[in-house]
Amino acid sequence: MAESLLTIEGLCVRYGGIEAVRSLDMEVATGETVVIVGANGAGKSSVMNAVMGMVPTAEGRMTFDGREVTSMSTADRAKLGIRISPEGRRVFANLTIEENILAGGYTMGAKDREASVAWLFDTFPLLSKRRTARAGTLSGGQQQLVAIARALTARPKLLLLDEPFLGLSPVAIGDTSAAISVVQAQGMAVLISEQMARPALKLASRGYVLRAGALRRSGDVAEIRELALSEDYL
Amino acid sequence: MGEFIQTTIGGLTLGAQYALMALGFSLAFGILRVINFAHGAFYVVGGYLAYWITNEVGLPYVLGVIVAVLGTAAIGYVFELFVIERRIDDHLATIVMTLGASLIGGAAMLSLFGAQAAQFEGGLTGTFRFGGVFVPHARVMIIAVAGLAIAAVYLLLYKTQVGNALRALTDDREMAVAMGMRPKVLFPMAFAIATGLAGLTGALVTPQFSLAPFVGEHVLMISFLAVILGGLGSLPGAVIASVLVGLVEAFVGTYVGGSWAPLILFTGILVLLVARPSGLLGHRTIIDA
Ligand SMILES: Nc1ncnc2c1ncn2[C@@H]1O[C@H](COP(=O)(O)OP(=O)(O)O)[C@@H](O)[C@H]1O
Ligand SMILES: [Mg+2]
Repeated sequence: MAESLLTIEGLCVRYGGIEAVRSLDMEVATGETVVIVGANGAGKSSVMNAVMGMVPTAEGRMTFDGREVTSMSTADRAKLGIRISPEGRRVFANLTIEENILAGGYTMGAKDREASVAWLFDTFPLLSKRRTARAGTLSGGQQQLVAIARALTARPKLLLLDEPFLGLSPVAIGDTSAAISVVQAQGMAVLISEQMARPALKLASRGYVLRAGALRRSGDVAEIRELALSEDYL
Repeated sequence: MGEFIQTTIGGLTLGAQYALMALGFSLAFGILRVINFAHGAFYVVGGYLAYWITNEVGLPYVLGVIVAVLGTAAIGYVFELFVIERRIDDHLATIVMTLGASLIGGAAMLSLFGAQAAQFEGGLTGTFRFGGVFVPHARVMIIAVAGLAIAAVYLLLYKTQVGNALRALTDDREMAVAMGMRPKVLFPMAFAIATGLAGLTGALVTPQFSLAPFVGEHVLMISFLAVILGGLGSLPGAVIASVLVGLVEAFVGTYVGGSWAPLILFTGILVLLVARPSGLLGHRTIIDA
């Protein structure tokens, strides 16, 4: 197995008295695509947000790219090369597509940022055509592409995609899958969470199944698909 | 005709004053989500800094204006970084902090300069004359500088990477942070720009209007109404509404009588807000802004 990029050991996430994630171990290798499958409320977003530092890690340890990040701030993790396309996409609604993508490159120098934006517009002609449109006016599928492109500007080492297919039309699911393939081709590692696991399983090589905050199973996609099918996730 | 032109210029001067104040107030509110009750105090401090440099130190008025802008921006920066930032997400706390700062600012000016209105001399004094129309240089300067300052803020917000970051923070703070933006760096800066605008306003207009420790409250209240009228969170709305408010105030003052201006203005604003609760250009209401 390739070198580990993200290592999570014994992660617990709590909201007041609610235990949303319980002693979870998880690993993502450099350049690898991993899926987290689980029903609504299983704790997928809590894991994603804990990796980004948007919710605190109550217990456990997290290392990224050889550094301990457990209590590191969100902005510092971003600087290290983690980016998220969050649940609900959360594009900057009053910014244009281009401004959203520029915002994603905030930590870069002006030259690198411009080069990155040019590359993204080359790669996603759907966005290029509408670059001056306000992101808030776009369809769900277009917003998902903006959220992914925004997360890519700074060329992260790890991309977190929290339910990227949720609520999308079949065509938009195809566009989003294609966008994720581009990310994989760049050698970036991807962690995707999904209830509706079918499109994500096509992209991933390994997966974890969460149930009520605890790890139910981990393994290669074939095993995950089998379990997910038998337990009605698909 | 002469009276009409003079009233228009007077209204635009008032409008420029309200617009500069409303712009700073809206910036702080939009980006930090802080209702800055001390905004009027920064106006007063700006006025007194300019007065001190010009009338007590004896340097040129231009320097007074520059010191006022830099001074109020610096105070705003420090105040945000060391006071507001500690409780930035607690709206009640920031209200108390800015109200307290407002009282401290007024009281400090009272102690330093006395309760009497300051006799601000040394601002621009000349007058343009066309036929029977008299237009003081100072008014033209106020309108021009306000226009330039508004354009500069626009360029900063829409044409620079920092401005892009500030607008991203306004839209979704948590996501902006997840892109590596640091509120602890950007918020004091945004607040300094906001308070610097208040200081600029005070330095520009108090030689024309009046300068006393608590004159900022009234200006802030009218600017705040203009902000609401323009649609909370909409910067163009705030500027347009401010100019309208200034013109209405001036025209009512000239053609109906000065004492009628506040009554007509506030009634008009109330009626407009009942008809259009989200303001002229607002796309959101006060509650969910
Ligand atoms: N901010 C929050 N405050 C309180 N409880 C939360 C919060 N976010 C999530 N939860 C709870 O934590 C559990 C896991 O939620 P979440 O991580 O969002 O799951 P998923 O993304 O798999 O749907 C759920 O029971 C949810 O109700
Ligand atoms: Mg979720």
